[in-house]
Amino acid sequence: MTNSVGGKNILTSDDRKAIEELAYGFVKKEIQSMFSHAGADGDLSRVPDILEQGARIGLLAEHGREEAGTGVWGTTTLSEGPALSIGLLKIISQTCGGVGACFHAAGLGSLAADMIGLDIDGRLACIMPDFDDLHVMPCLTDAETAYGRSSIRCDSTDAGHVIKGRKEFLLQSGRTTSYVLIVPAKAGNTYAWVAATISASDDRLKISNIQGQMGIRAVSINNIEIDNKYIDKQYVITINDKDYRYIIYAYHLIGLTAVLTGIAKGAIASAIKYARERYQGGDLIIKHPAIRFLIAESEARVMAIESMLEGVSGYARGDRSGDIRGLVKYAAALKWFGAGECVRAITDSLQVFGGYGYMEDYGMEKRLRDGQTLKSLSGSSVIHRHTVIDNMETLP
Amino acid sequence: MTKTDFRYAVSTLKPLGRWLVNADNISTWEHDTRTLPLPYRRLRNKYRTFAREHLGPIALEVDRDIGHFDPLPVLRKAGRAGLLSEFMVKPIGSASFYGLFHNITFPAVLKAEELTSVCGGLGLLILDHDLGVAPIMLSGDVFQYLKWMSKIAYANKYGEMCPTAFAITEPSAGSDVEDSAGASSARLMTYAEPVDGGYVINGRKVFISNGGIAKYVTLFAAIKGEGAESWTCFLIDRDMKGFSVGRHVEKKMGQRASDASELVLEDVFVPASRVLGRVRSGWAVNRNVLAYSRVGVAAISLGIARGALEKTIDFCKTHSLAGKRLMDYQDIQLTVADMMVDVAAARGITWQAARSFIPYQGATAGAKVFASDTAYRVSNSAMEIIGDYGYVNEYGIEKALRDARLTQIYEGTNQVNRLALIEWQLDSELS
Repeated sequence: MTNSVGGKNILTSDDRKAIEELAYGFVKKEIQSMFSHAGADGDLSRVPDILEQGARIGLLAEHGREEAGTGVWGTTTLSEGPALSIGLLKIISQTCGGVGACFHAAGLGSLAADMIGLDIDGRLACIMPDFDDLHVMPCLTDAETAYGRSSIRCDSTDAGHVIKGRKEFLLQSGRTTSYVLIVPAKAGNTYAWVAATISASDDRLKISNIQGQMGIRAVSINNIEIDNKYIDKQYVITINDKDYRYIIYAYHLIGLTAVLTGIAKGAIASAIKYARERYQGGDLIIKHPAIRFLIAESEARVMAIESMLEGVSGYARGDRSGDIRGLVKYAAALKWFGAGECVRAITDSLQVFGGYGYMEDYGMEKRLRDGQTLKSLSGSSVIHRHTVIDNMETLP
Repeated sequence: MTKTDFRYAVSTLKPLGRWLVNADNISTWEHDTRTLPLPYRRLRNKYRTFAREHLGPIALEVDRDIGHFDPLPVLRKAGRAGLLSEFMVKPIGSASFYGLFHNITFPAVLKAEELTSVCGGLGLLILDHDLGVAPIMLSGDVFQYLKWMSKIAYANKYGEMCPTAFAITEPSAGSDVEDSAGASSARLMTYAEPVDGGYVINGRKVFISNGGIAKYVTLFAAIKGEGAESWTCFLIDRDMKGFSVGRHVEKKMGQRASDASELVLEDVFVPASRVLGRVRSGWAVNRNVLAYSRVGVAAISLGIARGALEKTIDFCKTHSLAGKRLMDYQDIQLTVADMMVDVAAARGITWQAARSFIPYQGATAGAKVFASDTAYRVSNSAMEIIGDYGYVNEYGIEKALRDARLTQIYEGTNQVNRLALIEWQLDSELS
């Protein structure tokens, strides 16, 4: 499907179209049927199989799986940037934001391993540490600062490495086999960022599921605790390229916003369909200015965020490809601003349904719960605002 | 406290100067309460105490496990505390003469804010009763008021439960029955056919709050062959032959403790004595009930917003980052300040709309729009401040947001309420 130019896989527009058609067919066959006989959140027991099927037909990256290079966060991301993943996540999330978030989490774990050549196959999840600060994301700081204040750290000796700590609110898709850890490490008086993997079945790893999450219930949100896990030297890679952490972080925020955008697009499509069927005051409600404004404003919000997503994709191409701080700034602004606009579009679309929007019947309340959860995930707007200003070009 | 602190500096003033400064170190709630007449201060305290003692401890559990929730014990406690008999004076009911005839809306607003600040769903469960009996009061028939309100208030106050519900919404007529323009061409499906001694009613009502548990339902139906202008209000007993509860919606997005049920009427015979007010006066009664109840929804919104604010403040006071309380970060303070301003503004417009003895549509619709939009905005800010913890059920913030969202929909969507405001002022100042 791909052409190779200078060792990189390049997708043609026909390739993209074919992949997107594949995604639409997959959504119709696998994801829509999740909701046929179940409650608002669908038949969640089917999610692992949906992911497996997605990886098998090439829609979801899975490390070591050749056919998934063009899937969500597949290896084509390395040459083409996030545009294809954004498009796929939007298509999937129009029907179910939770499944979209699963694809994002699993795909990003695979990409994190791909980018530094970690020798691990299977379904991966990527872990970056939390920080004890309201202002800075840990992965954006130098190793020494991060080591002192990170929730997970690595102590290195000649014999090997010991990793310990805790990560809260980790997105994790069904049947994760291993975790990719990106953590600050200390060896004597020197500090570095390192990457390592730990098996999901390791007895030094404790996983506890967050109970009672508001939305995106297809994806597990877990707290992870690592109790002094010894890892042999040969399985730990020192990350000399700081861009790696920035890119993974940025792609995480971009992916979440793509999922949110997909949910909003699905909400608007449902609102239009409903407005064309429902009468009020003798007219279809699509003819009422109050309804038209709600839908038009929602559409404009989503168009704006799609433009931002298109813009951030540009950082992987041409002159902007080296501007990593610009990418981080853009991604943080996108998540903060985009999440707000997408949730606004979702809630306005729900309003079109009146009382029915509030019930499970039309799936709108689920969309709002999913959207609100994604909005709060991975850093509040406070942190993103600080990330934007800390990465502005005018600052030293 | 530093020497430049305002409260410290006050001590340097002359006595008269000190008297002119309000430096009391008390909460916003206490400041606001002080502005009220003494009877209302007592009521506000009473409602807050009831909410904290009886609703707070079960709020999250009820929301999580609504399938196993039995609302009657809560209603029984509310009834014994006098919260379900406030439209009838003592000793039959629990209202004071001053309270009932000075202003019936303002105490209801105080009650709504206090109950829903602890739990939007449990608050609504109790408040829905007031909505259910409102047509009995507002239909203007003194004999029926004395007959039915005495019976209902007495039963609730002394333990034999008698909750009521208000039923206007139909499957194909939601906003239509809350709006003048919509009503003229509404697709109604509940009709009353005159027969000897009364009426036979057929049809369906949907999304009726407390419909699944109400002993009496004040239900509106058109006279057969006519439109909404013929609406007549009937007092339906759930034991009447042909009356049944259809789909019982438990899993709505929020305010789950109060069910939203479908009521099915199949050849239900209603005696003429159960017509509240005049035949064909139901549309007017309905619109007037909405004029009163919308300020109630404003107060519910206000309560939910305040609850979200209080939970956020509590979280930020008890959680730290880098050894510093969240509340001590300027980033957090800026957002919390905005939330406090929003809640204060919502309280201002709500109290203002409720201060007149007879509230009017323009004011209450405006208050409902503002306060419900505020509740949603404040809950959103709460979720943003506490980040990932926000979407976890145990902190109650995501519940507040789900509860808040409904206030923008019921009692007429906010779009319908905006148009109601315009409709009301059209002839006086907009023409």
